[in-house]
Amino acid sequence: MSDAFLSAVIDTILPGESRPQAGESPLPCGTQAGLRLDRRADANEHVLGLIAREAGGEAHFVAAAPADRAAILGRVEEQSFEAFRALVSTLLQDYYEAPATLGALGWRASPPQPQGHAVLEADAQTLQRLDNVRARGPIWRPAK
Amino acid sequence: MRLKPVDVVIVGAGFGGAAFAWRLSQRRTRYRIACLERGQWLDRSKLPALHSGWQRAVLQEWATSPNLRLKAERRSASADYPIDDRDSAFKPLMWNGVGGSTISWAAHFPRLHPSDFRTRSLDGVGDDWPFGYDELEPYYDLNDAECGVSGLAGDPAYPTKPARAMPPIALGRLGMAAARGFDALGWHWWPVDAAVNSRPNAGRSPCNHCGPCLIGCTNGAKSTVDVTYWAKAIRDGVELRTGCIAQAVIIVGGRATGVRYRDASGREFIQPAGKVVVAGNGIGTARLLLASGIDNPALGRHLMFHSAAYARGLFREELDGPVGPVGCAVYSHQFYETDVARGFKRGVHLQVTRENAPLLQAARLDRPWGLEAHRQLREEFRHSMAVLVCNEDLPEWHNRVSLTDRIEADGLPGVKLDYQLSAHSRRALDFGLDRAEEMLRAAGAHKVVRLPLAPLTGWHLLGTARMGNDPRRSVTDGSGRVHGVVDLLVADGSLFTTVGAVNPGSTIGALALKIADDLAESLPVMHNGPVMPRGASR
Repeated sequence: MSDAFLSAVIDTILPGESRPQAGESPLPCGTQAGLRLDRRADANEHVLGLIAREAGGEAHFVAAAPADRAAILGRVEEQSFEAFRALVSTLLQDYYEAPATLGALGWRASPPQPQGHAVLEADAQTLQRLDNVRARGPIWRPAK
Repeated sequence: MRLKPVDVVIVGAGFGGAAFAWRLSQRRTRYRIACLERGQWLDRSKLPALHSGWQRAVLQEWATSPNLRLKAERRSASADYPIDDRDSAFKPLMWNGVGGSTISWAAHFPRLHPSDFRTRSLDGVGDDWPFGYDELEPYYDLNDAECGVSGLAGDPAYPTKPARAMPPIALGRLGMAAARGFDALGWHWWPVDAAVNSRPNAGRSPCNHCGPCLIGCTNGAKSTVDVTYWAKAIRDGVELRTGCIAQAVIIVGGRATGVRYRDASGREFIQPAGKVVVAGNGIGTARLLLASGIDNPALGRHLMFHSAAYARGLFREELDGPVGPVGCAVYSHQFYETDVARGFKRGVHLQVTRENAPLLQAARLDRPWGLEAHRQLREEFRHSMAVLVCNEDLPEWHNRVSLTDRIEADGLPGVKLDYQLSAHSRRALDFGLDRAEEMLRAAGAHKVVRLPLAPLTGWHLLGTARMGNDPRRSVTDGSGRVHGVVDLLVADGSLFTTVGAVNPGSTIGALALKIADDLAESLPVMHNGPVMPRGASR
């Protein structure tokens, strides 16, 4: 399968954002995030073949407009749901661990440990709200 | 090969087995106690939270379901066996290794309520436990002390509990927003009891809020029984053998005399023992006892999970995102006790939970690809609050664990679950979802999305060897002794007569401590060697 076809599949499943909200970096498309399918093409050969066939050939898929590519993938998803979702799952795992994606989400790329994260302690207003709960008294049911 | 006898052999090194082993080793110091565990010790240096690629671990070798782990590309450290769950509304979740499912639990640590032990007497449903809250209370206290609990005393949803060892885990923006919602409605809420260190405690580090508790805790802040009960039990002389898969409890003339097991190399051994204690969780225990030919009509029956559903609120304000212990923010028991006007008996537990990592959030979208998936993820990530709704799943005869005709790779018969969600549970979940949505709206959510049933919440594997006084409807007595088989006990969540609506870890630990004490009371204090099973030779 051609690199152009595989890249087009990746970027249709994981397109880039063109207009993120103010202050946000756009999510990259899959290939911009560094995703590749060439080493995994064999494992997904069946579903990739279905996509090419549905498009009338790899070149047709590559040349199609983004909305048309998405429609093709939608039809393949209907025909062969599990195989298509397995391909999607493979790509999602790479995409959401890519530093470019995490950066666009405002999240750090390094793993959770050993650094951890900061979480706020309850503020004074929240502690006052606990007093309201206390003031209402016990709510458990005796069972003697 | 026939081994030297021990006084007590335990099958399973999870919460029940660990608490039981430690307590018995305290009460009967000269007894020889051995535990057979099918899995291995956890190597914390290899935990995914320390490495890139940690998010995908949740979908692969650290998936919560053993069935998913068995299919994963990356090999899991959990010693799993397949479970036929096609006919079960909830999918069984567990970890098979030293520490059992505490390795991958959220460490949410509520107790049952007093009324949970008397559902038949109070509400005419389920069955009463053979004992009440008062009898278990000292064991709850002991279990709290051994596990280390962060929380806040004075919760009006419970009888008075001792001061918690540590202050609550930080609530974060998410917990404070939830408190705002509950308070606006005048409902009960409280910071959760969590078996997670909020401060240095018992030689273990405090939680640094890294987030993914379910893929193992790297610094030991989360209380897991490999670092709590097992560390002490082994110091006290209990022998823990890993990679040992029990094949059958050996029963001679109505008396359990030991366990036949297979080690990691496939060699078979017979471990004679004066007492056999099974603690393999609600599926593993039932599987082993059924495979051992235990003839009890209730064995494997009355499987209970806790029915579960989610309401997820979307907020314009920024919440915390995937940080902090997932099970540790706030909860509400406003609707825990029975109110017949609701159309069902017993109640619901509302637990505010933290967000998942972005990969998991994206993967569970209805259509996780294309531009719309990006939009949905943007809307949720760091802006969502999920409320888990659990209701009291009542014991029903047809919900069960049974054996298949197939022999699995571990040498045991295959195991199958049949579990249907009852109309009662459906009504309770719908009620709970309505209340959760009210709270989320009151807290400021602009949108609420419901998951009416959450199949991948089957952590709580309960009731399949339930306690009771009637051998036709129960498997053990109130001390975990199997009806009709002398010297055979159960010490895990299988024993639950009913399950309340809260996470069972705290009760499993307390119950195992009580079972150990009950057994210790029946054993002589001193002796010079192992108590011999009848018919065994030294």
